[in-house]
Amino acid sequence: MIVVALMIVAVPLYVYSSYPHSSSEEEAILEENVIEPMPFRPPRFLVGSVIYGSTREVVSIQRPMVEHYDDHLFIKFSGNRRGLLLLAPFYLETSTNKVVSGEHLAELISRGGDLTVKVVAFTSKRGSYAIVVEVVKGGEQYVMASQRR
Amino acid sequence: MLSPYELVVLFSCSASLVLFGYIACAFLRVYRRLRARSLLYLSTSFFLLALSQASSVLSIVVGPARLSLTFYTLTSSLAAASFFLIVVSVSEEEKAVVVAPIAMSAPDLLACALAAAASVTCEGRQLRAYLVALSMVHMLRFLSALLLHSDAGALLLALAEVARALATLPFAIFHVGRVVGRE
Repeated sequence: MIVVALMIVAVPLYVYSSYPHSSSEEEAILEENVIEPMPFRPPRFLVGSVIYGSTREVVSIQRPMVEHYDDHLFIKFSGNRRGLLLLAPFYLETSTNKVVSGEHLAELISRGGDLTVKVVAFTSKRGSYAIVVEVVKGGEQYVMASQRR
Repeated sequence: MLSPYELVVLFSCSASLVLFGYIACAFLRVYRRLRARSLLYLSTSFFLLALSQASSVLSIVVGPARLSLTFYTLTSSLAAASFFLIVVSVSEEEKAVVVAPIAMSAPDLLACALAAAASVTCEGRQLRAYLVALSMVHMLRFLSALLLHSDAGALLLALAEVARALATLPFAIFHVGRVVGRE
């Protein structure tokens, strides 16, 4: 009976406890950009398997280096590593409560200059992805809509 | 709103859940009359299979990806535990025929999976190809262990060892030789 109980709980418990902490916004962005387009909404465990197969780290990048390849933007982080830059559909400017689009923020980041970008970097065999969670430029601070306090 | 894909999977899992539940109850009823222990094992096994299908349903309907992935793995764990119960419920003679070869060949199956995983993670074309070949060798050994009581099993074992030697020879001479030469 002990063997049966161990067989049942060992792997699921290990998966649950070793799963990287991630927000629902990050899951949604990865689902949209990383999983190959399907004619139907992918089951949630497919998104989970992408996150579980990656390492997750939060990185603050000052004066980000952004490169354009076709329609995609790549950002350098943690030494020489590059990741596909992914943005949420909307961000909030915290002092004025102004809503800006992800495209607008991508343009701001790609222009470079004196700004700090906080990204959540997911690295796996499939590649690296950097999800923008916060951008600070001068006195302006942009955060993901749900990150607002 | 559930997609057509989710509806198809949910309907299939729910149907299996009900059927497994029905089979578990049927075996339990017969066990109450006959008091044969193997029937109790079978009933529990099908109950675990029903739970496995319930877990599969949960992996589709729950929102957080972490929970969904946990239920996804729980589905297979419950099914594995169920089959384990069926295996241990057989008589001693059947165990010797069925369980012993499985237990004997399990390390080869594990070696096959690990060599395949190593081939994906390793750098270098030659090393990858060599690891894929070793993975296939252990798959052959696994099959040979299942058929060891027959001529086919012995032949497969010989074939696996010949394949291993043939794959190791070029790897040792060319690839390892080149690495040593560079040093």
